[in-house]
Amino acid sequence: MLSMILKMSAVTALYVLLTALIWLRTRGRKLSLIQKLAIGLIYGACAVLSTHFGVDYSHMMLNVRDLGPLSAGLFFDPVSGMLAGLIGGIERYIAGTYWGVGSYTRIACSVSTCLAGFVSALMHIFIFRRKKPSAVYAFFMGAVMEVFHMYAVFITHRDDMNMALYVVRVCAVPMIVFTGLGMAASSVALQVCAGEWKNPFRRVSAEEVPVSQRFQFWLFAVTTAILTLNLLFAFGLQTQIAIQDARNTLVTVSGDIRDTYVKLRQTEENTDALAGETARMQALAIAEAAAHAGGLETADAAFLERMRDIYDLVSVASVGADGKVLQSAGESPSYAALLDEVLSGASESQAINPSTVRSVAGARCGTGMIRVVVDKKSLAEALNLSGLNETLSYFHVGRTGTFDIIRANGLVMAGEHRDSTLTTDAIRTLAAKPTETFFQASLFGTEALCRTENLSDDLKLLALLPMEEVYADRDAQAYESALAGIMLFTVIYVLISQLVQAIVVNNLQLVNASLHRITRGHLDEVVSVRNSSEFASLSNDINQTVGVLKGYIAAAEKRIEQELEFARTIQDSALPKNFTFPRHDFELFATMDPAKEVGGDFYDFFFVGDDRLALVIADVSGKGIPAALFMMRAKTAIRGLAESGREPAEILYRANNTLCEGNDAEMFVTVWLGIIDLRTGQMQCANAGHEYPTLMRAGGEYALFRDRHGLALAAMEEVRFKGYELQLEPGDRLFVYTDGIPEAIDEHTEQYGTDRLVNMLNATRDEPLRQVLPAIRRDIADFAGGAEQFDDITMLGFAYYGSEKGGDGHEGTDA
Amino acid sequence: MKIDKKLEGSTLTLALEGRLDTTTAPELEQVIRAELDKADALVLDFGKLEYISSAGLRVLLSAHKAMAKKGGMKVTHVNEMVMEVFEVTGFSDILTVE
Repeated sequence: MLSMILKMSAVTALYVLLTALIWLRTRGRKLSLIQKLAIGLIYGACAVLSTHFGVDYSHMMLNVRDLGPLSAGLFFDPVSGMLAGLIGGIERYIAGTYWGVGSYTRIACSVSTCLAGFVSALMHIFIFRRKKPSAVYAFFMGAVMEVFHMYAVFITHRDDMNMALYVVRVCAVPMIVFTGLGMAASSVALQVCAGEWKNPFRRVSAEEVPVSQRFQFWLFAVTTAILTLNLLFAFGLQTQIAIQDARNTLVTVSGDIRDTYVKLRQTEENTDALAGETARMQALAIAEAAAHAGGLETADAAFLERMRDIYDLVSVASVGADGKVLQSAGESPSYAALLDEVLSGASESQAINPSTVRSVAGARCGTGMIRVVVDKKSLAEALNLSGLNETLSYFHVGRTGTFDIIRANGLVMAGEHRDSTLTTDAIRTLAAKPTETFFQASLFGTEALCRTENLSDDLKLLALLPMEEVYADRDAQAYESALAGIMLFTVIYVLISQLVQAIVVNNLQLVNASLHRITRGHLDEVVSVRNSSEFASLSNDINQTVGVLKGYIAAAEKRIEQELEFARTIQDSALPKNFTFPRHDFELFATMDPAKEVGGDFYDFFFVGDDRLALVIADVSGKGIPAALFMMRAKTAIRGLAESGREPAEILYRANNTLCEGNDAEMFVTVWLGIIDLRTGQMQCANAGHEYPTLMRAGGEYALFRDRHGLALAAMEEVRFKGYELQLEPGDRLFVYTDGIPEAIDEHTEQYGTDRLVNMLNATRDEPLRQVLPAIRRDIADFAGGAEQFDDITMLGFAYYGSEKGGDGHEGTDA
Repeated sequence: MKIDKKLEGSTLTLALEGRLDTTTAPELEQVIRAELDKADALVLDFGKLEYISSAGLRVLLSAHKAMAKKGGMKVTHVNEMVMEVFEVTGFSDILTVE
């Protein structure tokens, strides 16, 4: 047993190893027809090897041949599976028919192997849809295939159920288990190789279990329970029927034997009477003959001898009046003495030894007597009556059952165990059991169903049927119905799970896929699963919900749009728009063009005192309402600090700390700040991470002014900024902007860049700023073409004319 | 934008490809927020980054602040254009750029 398990495990392990190796070699590749055929050949060869190197167990050759086609078909390709099945199956038939390898099961084996190839091919295509089966499914594939194999053994040997039962009894469990385990192990091995292996014993929350799996679990549980109950019920019924049949057999046979015994017994009694009568008649005849011859005295030994021959007697003797034997033929003195003794008794006949039964008779002859002894047996034989035993030998109990006629002392008089004696235990058992009832005992070494019957006071008829025979049919039928049941169950299981898959799960997946698209924003998706009322109504409900949702979203969008419009207006109104100043020593123009929605850019300018003008341009990271709000904070902070007359670097330092406070959104703002003294043209500046300003000296060209930089505001606390000073001369122009300009892109994501900006500025350097800025905006728009504007475009131009021009209309200058 | 995640030991490397702007910055922010617990140090590989906007800078800044308490953050393979943005905005002063 252990050696069988080890050998089978080793063979199975080889299959698993082969499958893993082939899989690793062909991993991820699309198999060509040649490769498919090659895999089929390899597994076909393995199946053939399995046929010829089976594992010997209880005179049976166990194998896992079906693993070949199953593995090829399930794990690789249907073509491979079918080829391997055909090779293995056909070779098995040839081997069985011509080479005498396991010829008894050749049809069952070859059919099941061929079928394994086709079934695995079909399962691969239709059930597993060309995916690797899970270990559980693989196990059942292998196991059910072997169940079919065993069932085929029964089907093909309807006329010889006992042998078929023996084959199945020995082979069923190991072959089913090992083929199943082999498939499961292969599946696990492939999953491990593919890195898809998940521990099946891991606790999974209900959310992770698909409907189909849960349904299949319960379907499995319920069908298994039904199958088991059905089998148990049938088994119980079969047991009852088997016992009833056995009892009927025992009763019938016992009755027949009893009748025969009685008949024979009567014949025997008749023989007794006949023998007595015959003996008397013969004695009389001899006495008469002797009287004729001249009396008892004349009957000499020769006469008696002649008489003995004529009448075929055991012995004959003449007895005198005194009872003494005068002459005798065939009577020894001791025998005579015995006869005397017997004759003095009442009975006429007596068994003198067990095998010879004789009758004695005497006839008066003168004063004496002639006595004869006849052999009843020879008489009976002459009457053509066979012995009890010979008659009884024609009776039989079932196929392997026996009967015996037993004396009370345990001596078996007739039957199977004639001339032997029962053991004391058996005698005690027999004595204890009432007659004409059934009981189970092991009287002659095998457990059997027994029944006794009294033939006479001394004799008992015991008929018994070994339990093995009693239950032979039941066991065969139990195996057969279990095998058939498992196959039927498998078919039902597969069909029902496919139906549920088609009717429910697939629809659910369709609905889910639609919902998924809807959640990803495709609100125009329409769910249209209409093949059942429930799904139709579900589809309608979802479509309706989405419709309503779309309405809400549209409304919300409109509201947000309106609010953003307001926000834009508010933001816009926060930027100073009045570019006409009651003085002519400078010109100033600025625009802010938000991208799509409210942005985070801003510009600002304001007087700090009478002659000092502060210019601010800033860019808040991000967009939308948060950026706009942050922008307002920054703008207010800078303006407030500037108006208190501080230096730009100091203003930025303080504004930074203010903005860092409670900056949970982690926004920041780049700021360029310049404060010019319009009287002197001296400008104090500071730059917190903002774009480089461009500067044009009077009569010259614009150029980037790579100024000293600090970190953007609100990025880190306590950042110190280093300011710098610009001396503007009359005719100088300063142009600051946000990154929306250089980073504006065209359709090829090429950036506008600072070079284009500088060129454009130079091209328009003599024009009033009021026209320069829109011209730049137009140029950027032309450059962008169809590309979307990502960022706010904000710019501020400042031209310094100094006091030379400032004469006319100069109001409120320092006195 | 494409974000390539790689966790080696306790160092998380994020290789960015494409444009880091208003539309893509939230994506990076989400990835960093999701992965940061696992990592002690963060390396941002900007080798294939074409462009960074202020929204991208904001994500960098918050990542920098979060990592300052742990193993720090490094930005590597920064191209000229992005470097210019860092310099202009002063981020080159606070970020570790290699």
